[in-house]
Amino acid sequence: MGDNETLDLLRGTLDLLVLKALASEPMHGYAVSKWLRERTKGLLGVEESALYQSLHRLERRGVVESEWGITETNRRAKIYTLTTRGRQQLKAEVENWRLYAEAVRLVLTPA
Amino acid sequence: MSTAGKLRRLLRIPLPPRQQASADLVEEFELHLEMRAAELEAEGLSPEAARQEALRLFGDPERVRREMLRTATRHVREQRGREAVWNMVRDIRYATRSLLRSPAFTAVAVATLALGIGANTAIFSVVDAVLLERLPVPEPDRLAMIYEANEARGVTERNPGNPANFRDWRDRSEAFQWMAAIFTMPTTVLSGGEAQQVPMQLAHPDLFSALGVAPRLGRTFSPEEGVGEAGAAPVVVISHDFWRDHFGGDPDVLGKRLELLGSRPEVIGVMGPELEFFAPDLAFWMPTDYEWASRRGRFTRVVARLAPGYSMEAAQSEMERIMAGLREEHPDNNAEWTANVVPLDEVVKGDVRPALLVLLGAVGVLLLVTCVNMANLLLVRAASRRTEVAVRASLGAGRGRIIRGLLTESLLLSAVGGAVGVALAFVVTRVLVVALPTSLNVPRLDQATVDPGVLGFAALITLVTGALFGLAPALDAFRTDLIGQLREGGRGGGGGHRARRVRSAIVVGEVALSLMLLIGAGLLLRSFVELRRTDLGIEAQDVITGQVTMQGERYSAGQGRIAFMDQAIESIVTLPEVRAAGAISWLPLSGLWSGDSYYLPGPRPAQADMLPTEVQAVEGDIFQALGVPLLRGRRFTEADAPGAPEVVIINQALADQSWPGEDPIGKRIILTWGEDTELEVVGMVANVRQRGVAEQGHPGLYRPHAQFPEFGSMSIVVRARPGSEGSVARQVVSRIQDIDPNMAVAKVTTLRDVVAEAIAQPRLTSFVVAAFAALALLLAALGIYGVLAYAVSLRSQELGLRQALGARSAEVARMVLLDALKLAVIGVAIGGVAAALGARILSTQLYQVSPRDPVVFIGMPALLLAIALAAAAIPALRAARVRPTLAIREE
Repeated sequence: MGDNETLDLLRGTLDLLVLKALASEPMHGYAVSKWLRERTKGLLGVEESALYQSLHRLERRGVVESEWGITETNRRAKIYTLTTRGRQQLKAEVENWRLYAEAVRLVLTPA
Repeated sequence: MSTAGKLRRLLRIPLPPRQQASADLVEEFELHLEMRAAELEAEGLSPEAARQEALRLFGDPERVRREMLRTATRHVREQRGREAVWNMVRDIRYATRSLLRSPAFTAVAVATLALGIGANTAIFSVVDAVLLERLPVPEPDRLAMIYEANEARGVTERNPGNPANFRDWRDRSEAFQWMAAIFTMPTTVLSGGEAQQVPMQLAHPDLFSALGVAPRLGRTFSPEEGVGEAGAAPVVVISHDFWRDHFGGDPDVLGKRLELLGSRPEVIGVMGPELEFFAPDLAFWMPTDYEWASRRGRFTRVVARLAPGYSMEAAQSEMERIMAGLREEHPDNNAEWTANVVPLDEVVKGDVRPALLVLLGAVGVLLLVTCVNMANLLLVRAASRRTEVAVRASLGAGRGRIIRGLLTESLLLSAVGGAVGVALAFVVTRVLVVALPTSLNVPRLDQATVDPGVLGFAALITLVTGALFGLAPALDAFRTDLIGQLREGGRGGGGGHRARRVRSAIVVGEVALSLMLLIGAGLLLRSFVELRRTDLGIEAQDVITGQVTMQGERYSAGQGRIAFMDQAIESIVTLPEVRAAGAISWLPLSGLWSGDSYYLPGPRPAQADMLPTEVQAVEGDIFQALGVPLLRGRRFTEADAPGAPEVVIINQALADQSWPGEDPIGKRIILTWGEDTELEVVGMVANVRQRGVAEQGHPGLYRPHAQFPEFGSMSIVVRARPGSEGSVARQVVSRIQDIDPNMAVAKVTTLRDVVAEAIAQPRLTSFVVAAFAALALLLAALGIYGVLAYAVSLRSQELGLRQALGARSAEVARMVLLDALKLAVIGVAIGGVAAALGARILSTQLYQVSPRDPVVFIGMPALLLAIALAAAAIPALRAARVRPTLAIREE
């Protein structure tokens, strides 16, 4: 990931991305970070610690829950799972995001 | 991970929540950093560089961890707060619903609390203003009044002193830094052609220094202004009230002049309202150093401030030494006289203190009864709700939550009761303030308001009551096991021996406390009845009085005063509705009199061997006007004029003092007033209560005003035809002002009001205590009823069984009544003993009633027992009507 070619994350967008990551399967923090890096091709520049803040925030809101488990390499790790409410919220926010992106695209694309 | 951490995990010892959260974060971050570094290493970085890069990408783990912990803590705190508020709202809503489900209980409880708290707050407000507040002068505890006393002559009270003695005290005393003699007298102020009589004080110029108060406007007296005859320097310092009423609060009042009879003094200063306590209703002060005063007569009071380093006791013994010297130097005037140093605080508050303390004590007992009654109500209620509590507990409600719920309920009750009580207190305090000053000389009462301190006091009682009696039953509800509670269906609940004992103790306590109040009220009421029944020596019905003060050129000589009084009475007597008219120097029951000495013909005895007497000058048909019976001889006539043989009418007490069992008519006495004067006794009248309703039997004599025009002020007394008091009063004033338009008539009132005023304080005390006692009695009756009704409902099954087994209804009823009687008798015994021990504090308030008066000590317990039985009657009847089948079916 290069310093000069990353995008600042829009507020709240990280939460949405984290939800999306967890939608596929429960995972620990590092797995989420890796998943995000791979999916965004390293374009989103953010301190990796921000991811943990996001996870804990989502947990307080009740859209994510966590449990201490064991990794493939037999390490103790905190595994995060999407709750039912989390899934509903993800669905709603993805829809919102599409509308938003479409609106921005319509404005920015030359007629 | 540290060894300690491993051990901890192994032993499964949990960390405190915050530390646990912190440790979790450390672990979570560490895993991330390790995995990230491993990935970077795989991309070809050295282990060192990989670790560095992983940290850079992550950000400072320490900072992030702290931030996240802070956020988490804040969140937890907010959530807890929200939860607590929500729980409270839920508790209050639940408590409200539950209270509204039993409106009778709620109403009784709120009323009980409101009365207890309201009465306490009101009385405490008054006590606070009158007794507890410090006098509004600097270092009030260093101020004293100095009086003279003469034990041998029965003048043990605070007698005014001689002004020449005051001058010697002032010269010789070291214990006092300041000393100032004062003499209060009525004077006439002219304003817009109208004459008004007001009280003024001849004051030593040091008075304001002694009090330590500065004037609000202008200055006070200089020492030079005290020199010469009284009022020689034409200056006055006026009181705040007089400034407001007479000058309309004029800020430019300094330099203006007062119109008095014969002088026009200039206003040099205005005092602040804080001196109201010292000289209520006073209009102004005039300076004098009393150098003109002789050693005869005692009429000044002395205000004194202790010098630094001296105590009241030291000052008292110094004054005793000084008086010992003065007794030797001036035996004619000072034989047997001593000096009395009384703290000013005691002088101002002493008269009302016992009465207020009695009220405070009574209201305190009432509060106890209130609390006991509350405890009783809540206890019975809690017991009857054991099943409900057990059900809630078994459905998973936490013990804490249930107790909190019950506690909320009683606190809610207390809060509502307290709020109503405080509202009541505002009203009662206002009523007391408005109703009292007219009839009672209670200093500083007008300052009585429900202030924050008093409110705090009320709030405290309320909360403590609520917490105590809410918590006790709540805990009690848990004491027996819940399962057993459920199995018994709640019927056995509350019927346990322990709970029964507690409830019995409460009833006994309530009865005992009520009896104490009842006995106190009984004693005070009996005493009041005795006061009312007292033969005052006068007939107060249909009599009006008013005071005239003869001042100025016209009245400086005796002839002027004689001429005016003769004319005034002659003119008043001709009014059609007047049956008799006269005048007297000091009105009966006024608490004022002139004292002097006399001796029987023979060699002049030493001062100490002379006999004391009250001395009055009278005019016209004074004895018919006052309704004082003539026992022997004759009344005065117009023939008893100046130059005629000097005559005197004595009272029964003086005859008994000098000629017991003999006919006093024709006897002679020598009165020492001014110069010795021999007088012939021509009549004897019944004793009159001069000093107060409870003061009797002081020797006294009356001289015709025409032969003894010694008094500047005289009280006109007019007996009117029934029902014409008002119109006669107006005509009397106008007749007097026909004779002298500058003559003010002050204190126009009826003799009935004078009598009423004399017994106003005992009446108030006894009625208020009686009201408290009545309330306590009502509460006790409610308490007995409540406990018995509940006990009967618990025992309905047993009672039914008894009836089924052949017991008759009457027997069942008797059983319940006997239970009640047993409790009441124990309560009466305890209360009676306590009252007998405590009644002594009432003795200063009692007149001709022993603090152990048998009528009260038999009557009140009987009354209380009767009420207790009446309260028990309803539950007893209900018990008798329990149908056997019904009771058994309930099983």
